[in-house]
Amino acid sequence: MNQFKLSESSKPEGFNAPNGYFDNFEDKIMSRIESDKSVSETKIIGLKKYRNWFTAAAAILVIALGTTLYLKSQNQNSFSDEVIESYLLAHQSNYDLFHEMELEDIQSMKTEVSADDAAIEDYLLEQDQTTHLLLE
Amino acid sequence: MMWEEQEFIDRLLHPKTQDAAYRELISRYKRPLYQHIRHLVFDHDDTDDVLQNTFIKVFRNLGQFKGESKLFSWIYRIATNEALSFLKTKSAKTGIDIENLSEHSAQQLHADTYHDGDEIQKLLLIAVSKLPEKQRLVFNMKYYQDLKYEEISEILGTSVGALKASYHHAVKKIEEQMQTQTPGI
Repeated sequence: MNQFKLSESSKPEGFNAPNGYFDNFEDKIMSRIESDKSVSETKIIGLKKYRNWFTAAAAILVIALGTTLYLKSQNQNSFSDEVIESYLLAHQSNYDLFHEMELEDIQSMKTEVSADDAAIEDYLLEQDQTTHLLLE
Repeated sequence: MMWEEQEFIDRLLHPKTQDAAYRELISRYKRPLYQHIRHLVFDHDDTDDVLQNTFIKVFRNLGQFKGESKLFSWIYRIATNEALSFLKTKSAKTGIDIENLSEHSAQQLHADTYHDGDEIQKLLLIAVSKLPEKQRLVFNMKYYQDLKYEEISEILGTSVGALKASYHHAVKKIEEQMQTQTPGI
C-alpha cells in the first residue's frame, strides 16, 4: 500500500466562482462605497443644520444657571441670621404674634393668678388713681 | 517596488485619484482574496459576503494604513479577520461548534457545483477543515495560495519559525487523514 504524499499530489486549481461573478465586481463595491458616503454626508449636513441651535440653547442655559446661582449667593451673603432675627423682633407686633400662634400655644402660656375679689378691687382702684395722677 | 507601492498608496489616499486607484486595487485582489476566503468559509454566498465586506472595510480604513506592513499583507489580514468573525457569527447562529463548522461546510462541498476538484481534492479539503484554526490558516496560505513564509508572517503576526512548525504539523495530519480516507492510493 502506497503512502499518501502531499508533495506528490497534483495541486488543485482552486474554487470556481459562478460564471460572471467577477465581471462587475468593482462596480458592486464602488456603488456600496458611494451609498455609504452619501449616508455619512447626510448625517454631517444634519448636524451642521442644528449645531447653531444647540449652541444657542446651551448658551442660554449657562447664562440662566449662572445668574440664578449668582443671585442666590448674593442673597445669602447680604444678611446674616442674627440680622434677620433682630429685624423680626423689632418689627413684629402682638397682632402678628396672635396670627402666628396656634390656640394650643396660647393656652400653654396661660398662668393662674390666685387672688380674691377684694384684692383685685384694691388693685384696680390703685391703678385708677395712678391714671388720674398721670392725667393731672 | 516599494516606491511603486508608495505611489499607489498616495493615489489611494488622494481624493481626486482615490476611486480609480481603488478600482485597480479591487481588480488586483478580488480573485486571490476570493480563494483565500473560500478556503476558510467554503460556501460561495458566504464568501461573497465576506469578500464584499473586506473591500468595504479596507476602503473605510485606508486613512489608518500606516505603511508599517505591505498593503498586500494588510488587506489579507483584514480578509482573514473578516472570515474568522463570520465563522464565529455563523457558529452562534447555527449552534454548530466553531471547530466542527469548517468540517461541516467542507462536507457540503460534495454537492457544491462550483468546485472543480476531483474526489481526492475534495477529501483533501475535508482533511484541511479538521485542522486547528492556526494550522488551517497557514496551510491554506502556503499550499493553496503559494504565499511565502515571510508574507504569511506579516499577515498573521507569527514568527517564520512557528509558521514552518505549524505547516509541518498540518501536512503530517493531512497525510495521515488522507491515508485513512483513501487506503487504496
